[in-house]
Amino acid sequence: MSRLVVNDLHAEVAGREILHGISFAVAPGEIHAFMGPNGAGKSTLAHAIMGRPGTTITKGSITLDGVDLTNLPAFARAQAGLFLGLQHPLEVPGVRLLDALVAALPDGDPSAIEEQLETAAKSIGLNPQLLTRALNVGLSGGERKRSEIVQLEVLRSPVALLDEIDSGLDVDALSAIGKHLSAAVADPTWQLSIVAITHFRRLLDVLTPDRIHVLVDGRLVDEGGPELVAVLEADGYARYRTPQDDPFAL
Amino acid sequence: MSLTTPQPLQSGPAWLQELRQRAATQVETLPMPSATEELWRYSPINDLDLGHFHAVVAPARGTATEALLAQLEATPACVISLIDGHVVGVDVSNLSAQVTVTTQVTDSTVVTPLASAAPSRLDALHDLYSPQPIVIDISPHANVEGPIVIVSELVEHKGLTTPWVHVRLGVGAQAEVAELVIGGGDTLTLSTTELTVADGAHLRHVAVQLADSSAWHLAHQLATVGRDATLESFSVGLGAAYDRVHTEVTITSPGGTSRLRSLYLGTDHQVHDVRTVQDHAAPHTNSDLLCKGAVADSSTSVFTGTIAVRNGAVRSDAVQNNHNLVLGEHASAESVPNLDIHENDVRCAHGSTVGPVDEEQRYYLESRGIAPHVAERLLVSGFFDDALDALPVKSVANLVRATLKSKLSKALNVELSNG
Repeated sequence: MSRLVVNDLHAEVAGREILHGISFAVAPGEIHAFMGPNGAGKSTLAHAIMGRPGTTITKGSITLDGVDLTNLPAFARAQAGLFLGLQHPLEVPGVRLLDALVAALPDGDPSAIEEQLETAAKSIGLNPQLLTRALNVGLSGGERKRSEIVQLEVLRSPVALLDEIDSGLDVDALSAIGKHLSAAVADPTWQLSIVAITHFRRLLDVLTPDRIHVLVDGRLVDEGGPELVAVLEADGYARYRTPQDDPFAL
Repeated sequence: MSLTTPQPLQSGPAWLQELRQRAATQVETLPMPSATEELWRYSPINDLDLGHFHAVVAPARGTATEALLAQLEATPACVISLIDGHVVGVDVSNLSAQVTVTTQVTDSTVVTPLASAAPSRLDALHDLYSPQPIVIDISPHANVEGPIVIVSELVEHKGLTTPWVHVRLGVGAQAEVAELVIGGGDTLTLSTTELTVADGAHLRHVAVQLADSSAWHLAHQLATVGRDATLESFSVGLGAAYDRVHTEVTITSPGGTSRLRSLYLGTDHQVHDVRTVQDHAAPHTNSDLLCKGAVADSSTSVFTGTIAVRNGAVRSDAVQNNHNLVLGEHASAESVPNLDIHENDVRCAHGSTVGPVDEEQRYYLESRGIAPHVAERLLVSGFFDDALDALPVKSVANLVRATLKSKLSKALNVELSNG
């Protein structure tokens, strides 16, 4: 049974259509990787699903466990079960991570949230002292990515959209993050579903995908199992592009 | 006693009565300030009707001072209580011999008459009606434990309040001073605070203005900072219809440092007006100013900050930053930096921002499931928290945070329990 269903999604940014009809479905506990060249629309896909203001869905639908999210604002989609791990998690001066999570879980017990936060941070190798600081302020790129996973673990969202979670990570951080995500996927009480947007194979070495989708010029042009990664790495994306799509082909 | 027919108060020492006689004439001869002047640009000063107010001859009883003091998180070194500008109590029970509070000042030179670069009728009114200047002396090398607190409670309807305080830190002394203002429905305050920080001394000063939203509150702060001395001064403007803080700091000797912070939150039709001068009068001096404010509803704010580097003040290092959040469609903020630099070998930096809450930050929080109005409150609180961490008198932190939080919840229409 599918959990996240994206059907014929068209989305535009600043009046220009970036996504031209994207369809896929992710079941509980599945990992789907979206790969493609620069400018293919990978980040736009994550933000269109999350509901970023300025990224407008013009056609198609997004449903989560049968609930139509298409016309909901970002926070309502997050409350429904989506989580977005940002490519560049930004600094939010004056807002402590704990306060943000307590605000995100209004029915939760703040001291229990604090405890979960500390446990998750320690387990992924993030100094718990960093949690008392304002969100991402003074954190390195690697620490910010670990913090994103810590937030996901406290929120326990059923679906994580991860936009290049692997960028800027050293080998140790990548392996820690891969381990945590794999555990969440395998956890029968969670069965995290992952939509992982990535440029590189190295994430998929630590996080084994069930399906690979190839996104080129705003369209899904190919799909396959994990074996597709090696093909993409060897051949690139040129074979998916028609000459008029390729700005470098003259 | 109407302000438009000046009559000097008959109390106090001879020098003060002479000063008032002069001031009575100056009230007639000096002009009212006008919004066409640079010093008053963007202010509602043209709406000030002096005929509406009168001098308070005998203060009534206050009702709010005690509850306010109960919110302080440290035992004050001493508490000076003012009602409508009159000293009604000086509690020195915790005062060490290192601090002297004088309310019957005999030395005419310890206060500065018409304490303004461009004196107006308001300065003369201040001098004319100030019942008694208060001088607080801290002995050389003293390290005073607990804040010296001056509470100014405004009570009398249509009353004019004119406090006059001079804090003098001796060489190498360290002290905290907190000025708190409360009350004041339909009142006018013209206050003057002088701060003298002698060589090697360190003064931590806060001025917290929580007056009623119908009050006019015009504060004037004048400071001098000596050799290797430090002034940290933080102004918080949450109350008053018109809240003006005019701060002029002159660093008179090498190694002197001035660290100014201002914070304001405007709601309804409030006007917050911060004017600052960082005056470098000697070489190797440092000043650093950060003014952060938010305007909601139909409120407005003005920041005009001047960095002055005088001839000879080489190697001066001056920083000035003003950041404004505009939270309402009908709210607006003006930010005007001025540089008056007479030396080349100096470092001056200034920055200013005016705009709504950062869209990316809001989206980031919303992507965690935080509703937009809660995200907005978190971001605005965070904007202020960032500055409040630097409060030089920590024992007023809870008072400021609690007042700010309740005001913010009202401004953003969010329940306090959220987050």
